[in-house]
Amino acid sequence: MAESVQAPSSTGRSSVLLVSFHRRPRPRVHRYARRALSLGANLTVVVLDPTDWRELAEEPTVRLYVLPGAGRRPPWLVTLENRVVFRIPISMLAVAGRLSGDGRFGRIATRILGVLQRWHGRIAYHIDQISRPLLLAGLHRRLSDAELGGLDQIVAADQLAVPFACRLARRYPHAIATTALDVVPGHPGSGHSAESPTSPRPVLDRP
Amino acid sequence: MSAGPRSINPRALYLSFYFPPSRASGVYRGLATANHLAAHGWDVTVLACPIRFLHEVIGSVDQQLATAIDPRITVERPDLNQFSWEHDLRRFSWLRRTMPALARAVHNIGQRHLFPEPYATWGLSALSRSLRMHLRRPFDVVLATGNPFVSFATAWTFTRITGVPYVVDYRDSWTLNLFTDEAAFPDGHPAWRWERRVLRRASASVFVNDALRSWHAERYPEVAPRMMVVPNGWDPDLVTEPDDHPPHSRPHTGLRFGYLGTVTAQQPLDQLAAAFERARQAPELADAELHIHGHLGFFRNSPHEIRDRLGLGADGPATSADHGASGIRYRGPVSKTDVASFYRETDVLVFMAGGGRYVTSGKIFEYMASGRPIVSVHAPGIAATEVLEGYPLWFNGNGLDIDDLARAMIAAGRSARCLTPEHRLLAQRHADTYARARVLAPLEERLRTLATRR
Repeated sequence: MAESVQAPSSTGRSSVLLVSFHRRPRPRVHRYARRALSLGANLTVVVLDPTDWRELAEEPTVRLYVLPGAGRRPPWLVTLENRVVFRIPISMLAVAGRLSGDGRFGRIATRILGVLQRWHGRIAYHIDQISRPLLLAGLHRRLSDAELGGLDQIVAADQLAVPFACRLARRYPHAIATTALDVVPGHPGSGHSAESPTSPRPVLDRP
Repeated sequence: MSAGPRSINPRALYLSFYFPPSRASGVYRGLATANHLAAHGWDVTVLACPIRFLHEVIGSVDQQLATAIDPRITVERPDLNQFSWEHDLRRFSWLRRTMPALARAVHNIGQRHLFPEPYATWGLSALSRSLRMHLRRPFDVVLATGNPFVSFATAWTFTRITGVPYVVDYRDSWTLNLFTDEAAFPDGHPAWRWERRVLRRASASVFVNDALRSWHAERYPEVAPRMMVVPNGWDPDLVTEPDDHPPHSRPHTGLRFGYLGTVTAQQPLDQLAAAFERARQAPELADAELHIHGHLGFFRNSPHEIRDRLGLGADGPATSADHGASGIRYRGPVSKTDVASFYRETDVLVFMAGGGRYVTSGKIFEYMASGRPIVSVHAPGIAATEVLEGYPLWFNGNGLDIDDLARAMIAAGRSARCLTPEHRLLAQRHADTYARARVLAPLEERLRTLATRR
């Protein structure tokens, strides 16, 4: 179960769940959280790293869930990758270099291996970018319905949080599920202009 | 590409992403152009953005403006992928829901290689739709207006396939930042390549003022002879004859200053508020009010900052009657049918514009047509002053100095108090030069020449 830093207090308010998985969330994410609180919402924040959220968690209507280390590659995978990509080929090259006598074969093979290892770095980065949100998405089960209670809005504050928030959105079909950091449920004007969508306006041409 | 049978009337394809009921910047120009062509016997088909985009992304529409579209005009609305603006997680595609980084990468590839604007997919849909229509009944000419400038790219591609000539209308500037007067993109950005490509093949390129035309002519001298200026102009159906009641015979006692148009954060709002406060210290303006009419920003998130800067309070009601000591009142948006009454009830018009020397406002033409004193609140030497030169009731602060602006306001107030019908007539005569039909005539003539040549 996720580490819950603080329990919510009151009920009868709108309930917002904010998923922010970036280690250093953008200032607008914090601004949104503050705004939701100022408008009287109960706020649940799900993070991987609580460093930037400790202060906000002091608020009585904030509940902070920390999923430490979540979504990182498991240690066995890191070890396997290290062996397959680095240690085993280097050992084999060392043997091949000794066998080839003048070391020419060894030098060529080392160069090829260097290129492959660099490519591995790039590919691994992209695979990580793609797979990490998926791994994190599975962690939505750590948040039980009993703990979350009724949710009015689920907000994915960054790209990493999108699959996680989408899974939660499936569990709470009546909640608003969004990436918009400007609307608080029960306060339609909080992020919108006071203009009615159908109200006309005179036009100021530009330039 | 072989096309179907020709129609008797010349047929124009008008690529105007923002078209009523949109209330976006410059939509009046697009509407007036289409109506003008239809009135002159053209068979006009407009390709505009989907209504869903206006409701969900822009956040507002003007249904009354849509009623002003000439019924002879066909309006089609090709699809637009709303990737850049979609916030609802439930409407995300499977790819974006499960692998957001990959979905973003695919989207970015499109931006880099297809066209550097988030509207690129609209361009593709518009192209496909227009080609199908062209096969059924051929177009004689294409007119594209920007922004967004994907409409230019669509016109260019359409012409490459069909050979139909096209004209581009720079309602806004593409590669020039109007607020800083500097290039909008770094060297090597695909926008430059696209602009060169588009202008090279365009049969004509149209600009809203001569300053903008010159800027482009300097950069693209090989196509400079095909460039022309079509100012924004004013629509006679919006500005009816103002009544000739002097201000003191109105139900309100003080002079009423008025601003009509969308208020944006780029405008000198702080200077306006400060100057008006100072002007009210003069005895003749002590009970004067400044009424702001229009939307606060183009987007749904704009109003907070604007309200703050005008001293209207951040979260107050949309139309606050409580203006406190500042004398500034926000009156909310004005319906198209109420524009004339705005002019009737206003004694002095405040012309406020953001940006630098290349900026013209569409509203200034309408202001002049009303025959009221106009106070300028903008940087000195902007392109709009070219059209105000010679307007007898123009009170120019010559910049954004608070004292100068206040003095101009006081002088305009005095002028409003002793305004005669003769003064108004003189002022309106100056505005007649910019009546919409008159300014659009050269463009219509150019399009007709191109259509006839085919």
